Amino acid sequence: MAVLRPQDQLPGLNTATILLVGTEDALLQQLADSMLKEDCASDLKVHLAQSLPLPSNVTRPRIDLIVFVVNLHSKYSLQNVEESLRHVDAAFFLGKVGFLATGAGRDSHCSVHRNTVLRLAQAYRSPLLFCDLEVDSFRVSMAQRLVRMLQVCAGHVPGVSALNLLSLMGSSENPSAEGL
Amino acid sequence: MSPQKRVKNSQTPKRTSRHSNSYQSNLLAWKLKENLSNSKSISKHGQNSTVEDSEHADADELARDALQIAMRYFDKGPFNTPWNKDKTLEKHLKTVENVAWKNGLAPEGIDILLNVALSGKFGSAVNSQILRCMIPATLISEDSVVKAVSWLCAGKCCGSTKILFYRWLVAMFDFIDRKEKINLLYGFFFASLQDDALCPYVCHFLYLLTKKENVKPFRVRKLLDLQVKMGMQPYLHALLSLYKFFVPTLISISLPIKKKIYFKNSENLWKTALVAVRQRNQGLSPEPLKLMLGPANVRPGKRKWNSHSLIPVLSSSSHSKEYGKEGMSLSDYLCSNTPFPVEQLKSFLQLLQNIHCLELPSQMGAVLNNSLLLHYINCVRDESVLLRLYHWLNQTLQEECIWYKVNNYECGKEFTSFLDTIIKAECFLQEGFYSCEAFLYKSLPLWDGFCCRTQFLQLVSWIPFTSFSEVKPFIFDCLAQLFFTSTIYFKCSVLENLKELLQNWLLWLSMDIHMKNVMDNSLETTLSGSMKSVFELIHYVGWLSTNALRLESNSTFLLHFVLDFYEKVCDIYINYNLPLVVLFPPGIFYLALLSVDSSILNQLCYIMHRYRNNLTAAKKNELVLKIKSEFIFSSKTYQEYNHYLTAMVGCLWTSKPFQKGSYFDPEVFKKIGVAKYKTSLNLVHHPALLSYAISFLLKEWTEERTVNLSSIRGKKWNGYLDYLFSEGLQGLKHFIQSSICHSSVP
Amino acid sequence: MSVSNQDIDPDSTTGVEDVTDGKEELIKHCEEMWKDMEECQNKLSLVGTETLTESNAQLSLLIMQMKCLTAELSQWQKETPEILPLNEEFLVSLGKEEFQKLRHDLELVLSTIQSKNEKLKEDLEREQLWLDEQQQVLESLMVLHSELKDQIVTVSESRIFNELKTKLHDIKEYKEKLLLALSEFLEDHFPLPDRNVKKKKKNTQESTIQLITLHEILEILINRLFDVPHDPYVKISDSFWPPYIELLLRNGIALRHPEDPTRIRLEAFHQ
Repeated sequence: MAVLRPQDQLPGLNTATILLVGTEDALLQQLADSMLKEDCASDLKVHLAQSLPLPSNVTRPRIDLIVFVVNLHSKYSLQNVEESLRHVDAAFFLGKVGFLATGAGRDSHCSVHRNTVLRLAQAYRSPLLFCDLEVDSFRVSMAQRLVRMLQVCAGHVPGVSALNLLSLMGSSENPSAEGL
Repeated sequence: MSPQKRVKNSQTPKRTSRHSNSYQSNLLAWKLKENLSNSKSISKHGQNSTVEDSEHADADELARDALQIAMRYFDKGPFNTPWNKDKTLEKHLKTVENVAWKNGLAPEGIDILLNVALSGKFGSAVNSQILRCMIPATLISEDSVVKAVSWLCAGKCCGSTKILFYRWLVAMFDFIDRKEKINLLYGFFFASLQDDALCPYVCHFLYLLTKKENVKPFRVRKLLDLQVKMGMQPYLHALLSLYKFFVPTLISISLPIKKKIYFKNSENLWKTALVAVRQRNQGLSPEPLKLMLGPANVRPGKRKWNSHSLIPVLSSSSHSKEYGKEGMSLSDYLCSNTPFPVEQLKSFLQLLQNIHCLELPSQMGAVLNNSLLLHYINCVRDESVLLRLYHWLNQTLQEECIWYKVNNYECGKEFTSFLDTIIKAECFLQEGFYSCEAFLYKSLPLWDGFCCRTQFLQLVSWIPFTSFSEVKPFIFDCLAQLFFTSTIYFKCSVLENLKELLQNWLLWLSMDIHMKNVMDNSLETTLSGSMKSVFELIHYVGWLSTNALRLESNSTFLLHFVLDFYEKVCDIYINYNLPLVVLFPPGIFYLALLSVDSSILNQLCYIMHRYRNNLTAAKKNELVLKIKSEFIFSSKTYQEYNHYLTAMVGCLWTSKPFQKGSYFDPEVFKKIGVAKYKTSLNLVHHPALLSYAISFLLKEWTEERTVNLSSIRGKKWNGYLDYLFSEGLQGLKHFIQSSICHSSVP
Repeated sequence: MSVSNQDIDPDSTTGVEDVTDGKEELIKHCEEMWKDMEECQNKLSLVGTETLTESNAQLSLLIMQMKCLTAELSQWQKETPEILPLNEEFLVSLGKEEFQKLRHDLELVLSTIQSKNEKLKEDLEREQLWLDEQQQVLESLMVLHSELKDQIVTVSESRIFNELKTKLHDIKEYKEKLLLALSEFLEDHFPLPDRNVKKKKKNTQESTIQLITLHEILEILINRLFDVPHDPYVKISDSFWPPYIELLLRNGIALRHPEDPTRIRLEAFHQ
């Protein structure tokens, strides 16, 4: 299937699946490990992919949340993400997509400006999170947050839907503080 | 015009080298090279003279020799070949650079290099290379700077070198040991403002250098002329605001107080080296003042942390010492009050005795560590003091913020303790610092919610009072994003700190209103603006809480914190005398009303009771004083309250819950099979109080086998009530006494 | 456009006791819900897909989000709470679970309150200390204030006169010293151009004009400023050496007349 659809299968019982898309293999692997270490009432499954579309010969469970990881130090990872975005069904963007930008701490190494990723996230009306995945403690806390988002997107939190969470996280325009 | 004469005159042999045990030997030692360096290496590696040590010493000596040769070259060296082809020049430059970046240069070395760089012996590329590596080991002597400035008069160096020199001055400002002579050259620096290219950097330098005495009317005139010529540039603005704070009467134009960052950060070139220099300085200088009073934030056992403290050591900027041959100084003639040097301030008693002649240190940041000076600042009405503190904080927080640190995530502890100190100072002065607010704007979007969490949230609780809607997109929206995806403990901490924020704002507002006792039209508008801001904050927290409770499946723990917040909100009118009454949203009310926990119910009753008091007091005042406030007297507030009250009384007392218009559909009860729902919920049957009812019955009538809850009526009802009150449900007691008048029991 | 129903979550009750009757009932319940979900899934799979590009994403997503939110809202309004089958075992186990959770929460609340109490105590002590210190500061300031007030000796004319006379004398002395230093400095560093160097080019009449020293120029300017404050301008005469005039103007010591370029004045450093 070329395009990823949110409701293409029935969900697994008590399972929540997240798909991490990004070019930074090592970082994604570490993030996946941290997520699996979190204790959580649901069964977590983490899938990693370099880019979309995903190969169609593999059976995989229904994907509840896609997180696109952009490394601010490499323009290639941004391009990769922009390409992959074209293979995602529009229905996914109702709260089941998030962007994660890593490497913002090392300002001098950044070849992609933060505002570029910000604008991308705003264009797709999805939340943008910042985290330096190389640092242990930041990664663990980001894993915690992703797990909670995943639980909501998989419907395991009664009364809150993914779209609901999206509107809570707000589409704040986030003007840059330099204008102050 | 030959400044050479002056150079020779001031090169006195008596050099104040306080750091005689520094790594590099000083000028005199060059004459006695072998003896001194040998004795130094022995004294340094005194105890164990293993082979390794002597080898190490040899390498050190080699390095030192190379440096000495390089220095001699720069000082007097033969300049045979034209400089751009000179290999020896490159070699010596390399040596100097290596030493400088590793250990820093001695004051004498800096002296020589400054002369070379600014005298135009070499081209501008070499000059800029030299300036970039002029990193002091410990201090820079004031005389070298004066000499360097005199070279500027000679005009031997090009414009870009001048700019680099000023940037160097700004970056190294703290390390210049004394600044009186430099201050006397103020006029010269001021005249350099005419040069457009130099203007921003000179402004920054003057901003650091200016004292009250330097602010003169003709200088103000010149600055205003410059402003007319160049438009309102941020650096001119900064200098004008500083002048205005020192002598407000001289400047009549109004300068909007902006919390901007005025100056570009000139220190980038030397940033990492500066950190090393500060560390070296801390190591050598005596231990910072032990605080005998005030909060014990310096524990002697933990000195290791303080050795890399970001807060500079206290040193007074004492003025008016005798200088030169004739010993004339105007202040000797006119001023009788010598300021008390601030380093000697060690006890509270000394503070009390000398409070009228203290002079604040040039490095305002040093004040943060010293509780005595904080007391002083608290009393002083001079706004320039706070302005200087904010400026210092701005600079430091910009550089030291952990998110911008290039490679050093290990400095977490140091940064955390620094933030702690700032927060303590804010708490003592009961002032929010604008620099901290600016810091939050920049770093909150990048924060992960974990690093320095307590400190960060406490900084949020000390945001100075502003219009909420202005600040919302920068701080509160980011906070909301973090909030909704975090753990329950984070959510509770945020709510706690937002409660503190509310409290601080309320305190500031009520103090302000006290001071402005006049009620004229202008005040009305600002008052309603302030009330609007507080209202928006409360509304925001209500929104956060409702959604947090949904996400956390109505956790009692979270509900507890939410109700804490509203306990503060309900009493705004009576406690703080501000015309504002805000009710809680229905999402919270109904959850609390039907919760399974009796302490929540108790708290809710208490809050309802307080709301009632506030609303009735407001109504009475309105009739008496005829003050109207849109935040209380919209009929909506009263209606809502009445609605809640009815629901509550219905649930607890009259067994008539869920009348029409409530949120519950009677169909549900049919499904449950509770036929007589209309009369089955009251103080006895409420799920939170069920256990109390049962234990009451068991206590009184232990011999009975079955427990019949509906037997609690009549006289038993009063007994039951007393039992409840004795179990600590005081809120319930207040509520029942105030809102329910009962002559007989239903 | 696909309308997604994301609220139907699988019922994930845990802690069901091992009672066959009740268990069967629950399983039957779950199977019914699962069948409902399969039906919905079949309907969904018939809906087509749609991808977005960055340019058209925002608008179409906004519209889609609005529709979905409206649909969700109406769904919530229609919905009535689902009740589990009312088996006594379920209720007991659910109740137990709920109370255990409550107990856990209350323990957390207890420890929070205890730590809050401790913090409050610390805060109170600290604030008390600060308050005491502030009181002391206030008292000492009052004492200082009264001391200073006492020092206001009654005005005695002769005493004031004498004080002023000494002050005046001191200042005059200082002024003399300053002027002396100034003249020495100017002589050393700003001498008149050497008259003996003759130009080999054609002789103009320059040698006949008597140049005055920079010191004298400055004296003229200063005197003019103080003698005639409302018109402190001095006409540039030929006896002023032009490079020195340039020097004074460039460094802001003297200012030109705004309309007349041949007149200059001293900058008013004192006002």
